Amino acid sequence: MPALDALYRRHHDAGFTVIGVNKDVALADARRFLARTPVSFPLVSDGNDALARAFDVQAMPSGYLVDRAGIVRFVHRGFTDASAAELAARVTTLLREPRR
Amino acid sequence: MRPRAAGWVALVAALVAAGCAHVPAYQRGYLARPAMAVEDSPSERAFDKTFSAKEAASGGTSVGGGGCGCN
Amino acid sequence: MKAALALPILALPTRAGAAETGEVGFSTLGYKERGLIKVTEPLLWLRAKLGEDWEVAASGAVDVVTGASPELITNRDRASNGEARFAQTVTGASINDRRTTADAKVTRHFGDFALSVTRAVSNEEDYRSRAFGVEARLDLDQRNTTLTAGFGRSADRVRSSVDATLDAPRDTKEYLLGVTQLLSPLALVQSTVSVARGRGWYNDPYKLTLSFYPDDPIPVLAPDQRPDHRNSMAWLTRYRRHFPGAGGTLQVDYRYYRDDWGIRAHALEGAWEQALGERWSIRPALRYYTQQAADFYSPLAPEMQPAVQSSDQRLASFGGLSPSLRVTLRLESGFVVEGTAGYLHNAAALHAGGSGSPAFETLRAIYGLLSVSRAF
Repeated sequence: MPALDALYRRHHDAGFTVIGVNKDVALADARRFLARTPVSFPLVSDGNDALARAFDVQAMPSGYLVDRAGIVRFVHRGFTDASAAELAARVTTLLREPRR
Repeated sequence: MRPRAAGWVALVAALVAAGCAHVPAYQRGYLARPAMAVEDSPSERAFDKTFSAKEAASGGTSVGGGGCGCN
Repeated sequence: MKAALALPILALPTRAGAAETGEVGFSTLGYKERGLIKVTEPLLWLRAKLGEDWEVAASGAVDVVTGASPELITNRDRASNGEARFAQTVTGASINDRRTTADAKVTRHFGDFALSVTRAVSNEEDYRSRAFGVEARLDLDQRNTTLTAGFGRSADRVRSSVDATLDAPRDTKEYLLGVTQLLSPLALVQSTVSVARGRGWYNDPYKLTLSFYPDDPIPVLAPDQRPDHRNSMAWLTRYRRHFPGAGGTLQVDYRYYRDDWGIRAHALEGAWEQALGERWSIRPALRYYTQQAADFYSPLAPEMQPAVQSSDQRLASFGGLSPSLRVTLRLESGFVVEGTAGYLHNAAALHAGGSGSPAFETLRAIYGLLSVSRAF
């Protein structure tokens, strides 16, 4: 989470955004987590699983890297230190692609 | 006893198969709770010995746990 | 994707996935039997992830047993109607036994497959155990189904603090097969069958039977004699069902056990774990146990001694009830404090079917556990 937050703050001005999707069944769990690990990127709640189904989520957590044209370019399943570094590299690469 | 045991195994298998809904990864919030765990914690394993030291039956949870001279 | 951005944005955090690396804990278990044994057992455990693919777990405990254990079953007394009455005698010698155990488990993950190796050692003055185990786990269908297979081997040595010449081996091989299945977002079931084959010394070096016969002035004194092998099967099924409305979880465990000593046993435990607010939970539970005696169990040593006979009442027909209550406190920092108190009542009258062994002396005991652990 801190890694995602750092990535968001670093590249936000360049047009990169992070949207966190909450799958917690109880709001209290979610609020408690926010108190411990605050983030600055926007968050949504996916209570009826519409988003999870649309993205065909196979593992928790999953990350979907979407380019400027709205195409999913990369899918992250699970989150490790190695995948955080890889994500940072891919974000930088995608940001260099021209705007349409 | 063998045909009866086979009957029970078949029943459990049927119940398991019948009750199987595919649960996607994002719907496991409740299943991840500690109360839903089926693996024994080290404290619970210690309790097992409290009972097995006074009973003839034992085991069922794991293998290679070793024995004791519970007298 | 554009449609997704139209969703209302609520100020709720996401869950990054439990980034828990491990857990360390300490607990003390106590057991006290009315008038007899008292046991205390401090226990320490540790579980940790090493990198992405490795996991280790280890625990160690010291079992301290003090008091006295029944050693002699005798039929010296007779009821007013002439019926034999059996008595359990504690023959003065008190026990001060100490058992040290340690075990370790190393697991390697290969995607959906995991392989574990375990080692367990146990030492006490009159018993030594060395065991190892191998366990394989396979996740299918995104962990909707998990299959487990295991093999274990235990090499034990039986000695006696009253007979220095006893130093006998006991070897056991165990095989396990299990399946865990998610039934719904709220329920799951696990069923495991394990088979054990043991060879070696099973006699209890401390138990004797002293029987009086009206036609013989000299009583029969028989030592505990059991078969030199024991083949058993245990089938354990666990069911868990969460009720979000009530904030509680139903836990039901059933184990069927049978072996070639003639023992048939059922153990059924039902529990309800109820959340009380965000940090506390309470778990009342009730365990019922019933067992059918071993073929060679008898409180009477026959005049013509057979090859096998034991009056150890743990091999008798009886039933038992154990209610217990557990209270758990989970703190923000990752600390978990847990306390359990229970009562054990084993009696011939509680035998399912009502035919408990008449010589069975009712057992009453209390037990408890206090544990503190921390996730890191």
